[in-house]
Amino acid sequence: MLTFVHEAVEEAARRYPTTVAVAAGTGPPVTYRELLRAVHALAGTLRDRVNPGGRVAVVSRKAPETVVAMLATLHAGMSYVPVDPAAPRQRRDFILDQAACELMLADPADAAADRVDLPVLDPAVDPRSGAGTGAGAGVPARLCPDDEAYVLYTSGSTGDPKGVVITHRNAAAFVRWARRALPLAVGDQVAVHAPLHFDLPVYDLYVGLAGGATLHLVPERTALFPQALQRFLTGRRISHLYAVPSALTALLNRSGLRRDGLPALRRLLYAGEEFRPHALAALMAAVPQATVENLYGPIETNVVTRWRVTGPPDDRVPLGRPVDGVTLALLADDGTASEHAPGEGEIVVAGDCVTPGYLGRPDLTARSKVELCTESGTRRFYRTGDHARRDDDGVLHLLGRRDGLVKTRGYRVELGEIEARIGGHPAVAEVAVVAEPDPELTHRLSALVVPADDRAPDAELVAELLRHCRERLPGYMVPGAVRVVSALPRTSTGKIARARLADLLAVPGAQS
Amino acid sequence: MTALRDRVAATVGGVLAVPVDSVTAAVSLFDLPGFDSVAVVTVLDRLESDFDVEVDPDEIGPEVFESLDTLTDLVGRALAGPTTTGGTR
Repeated sequence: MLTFVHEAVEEAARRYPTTVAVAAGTGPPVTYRELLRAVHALAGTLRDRVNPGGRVAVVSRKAPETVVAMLATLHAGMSYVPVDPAAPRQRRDFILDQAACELMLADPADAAADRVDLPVLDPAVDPRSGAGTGAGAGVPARLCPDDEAYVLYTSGSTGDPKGVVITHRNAAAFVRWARRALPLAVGDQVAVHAPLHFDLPVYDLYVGLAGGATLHLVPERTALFPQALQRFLTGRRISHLYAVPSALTALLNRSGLRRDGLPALRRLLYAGEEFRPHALAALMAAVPQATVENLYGPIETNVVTRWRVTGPPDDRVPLGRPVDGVTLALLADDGTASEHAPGEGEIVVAGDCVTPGYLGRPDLTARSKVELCTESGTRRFYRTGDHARRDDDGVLHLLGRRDGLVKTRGYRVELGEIEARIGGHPAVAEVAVVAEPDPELTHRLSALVVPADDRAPDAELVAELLRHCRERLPGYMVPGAVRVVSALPRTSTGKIARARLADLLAVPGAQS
Repeated sequence: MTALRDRVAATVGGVLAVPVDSVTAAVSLFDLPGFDSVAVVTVLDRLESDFDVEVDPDEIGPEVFESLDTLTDLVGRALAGPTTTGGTR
């Protein structure tokens, strides 16, 4: 019997009415009773405004209203689409249009709602207004497990972001495992660090609130400054933190963390990219009392493996073993797949956690899945594009990623999407985007550009291309440098010689 | 102070590859395109080397990046304060 993720939260809210559910950077904290009332009131309004099963855009500011908006949408039997408040307008409008959102939940004064082609509704409901307490309030919509719960947009290789559909079955599969394996309870102080349009906070929100924990929303600006983040984590006596390694490395290197530690921290989770062993060892030395876990899984599946890091690592940290309910196989080059045998191959995943596909893109969905016969039978698997090795004891180790997909600042980025955007500028004849390993960002992105005409490379073109990117791409996808070159290296077959691009970056010359 | 403000604006504009005019016109530096965690670190590094100062890490928070004036004040304090390293390196 499936427990819907929002119903588990509502059950906790009835059990712990006076406990603080959500505290933001400023403003009064919201108790579970107030949260429940606000959710029911907003859900009532949504039912009047949005068709059953329709999609609602939620501007994902780090505010209690965002949490209310997400829960109310599910309670009303609709699906939410988190929208990055910092997304360029073009990207925002693409997402709203592609997802056919019927309404946007945002403060109407929010810049993220500026000139939006949708009705905008303020999710803020005065908890003392009495709204949400009338007859019929609080009765959740009847849902099927395969109804859509939310859609998360991620980088797509062809130039447009793609929307990963997460059903209630998908969300519940992850939350069921996480509540058992990594539970959160009353008294736990949980930092919601990652942006709410990302998949990490799914743990914070649905595992934390289902357990009666208190969520502390880390303001976007605090997250930019390691010292400010350290003060926030210390001041709020944070006991549980789930973040990407780039953010944790910046916290380690650019705040007083090595000196002061985080005495209240009990559990540190990370995901999204590999943690460099030296940096992780130093972090663990700074918070020796905290347990550390490496979680792995793409947005399409959420977490599929887990590894408890028991001592300072001196080598790459294993991915660990598959979590409950996940069928994980390695697809070898010869086309065979095994769930148990030692060996190497692409990680493929089946089970309740796997997305039904990409919104409006049956072509991409079809390409992302493959029917395979393993020890337990034949079924469709999601192809992660990550390669791994399985040891004799069943522990998985990440080997690498397929071409074109890189991680930067914990986000996954298709280099092709950035190239398509830059290539769309009339002054550009050719472009290649290079990802170079970087100790803090995982990868630093640079663009090599061949101008369309013969005029001398100049700073103006670089500035213009950066502006062009910033209007179309989220900040983490905008190259840190643009270099104008006369030609790109080619292989004998005429393709861009990717292996030689990094050499070109090392040559002194025109740069941003 | 105006000269210092202009130099700080030039540094910020250089890091973000935006015209200095848009830096001086911005109500908040956070509104500038490309202003993210990498830009924050780069701006600070660049200010420290351009002005040959060291900024006290405890002073670095969202408040000082709120506007060009608050950032200029930070540089002004670093220039005047005991953390100035001019001539000692």
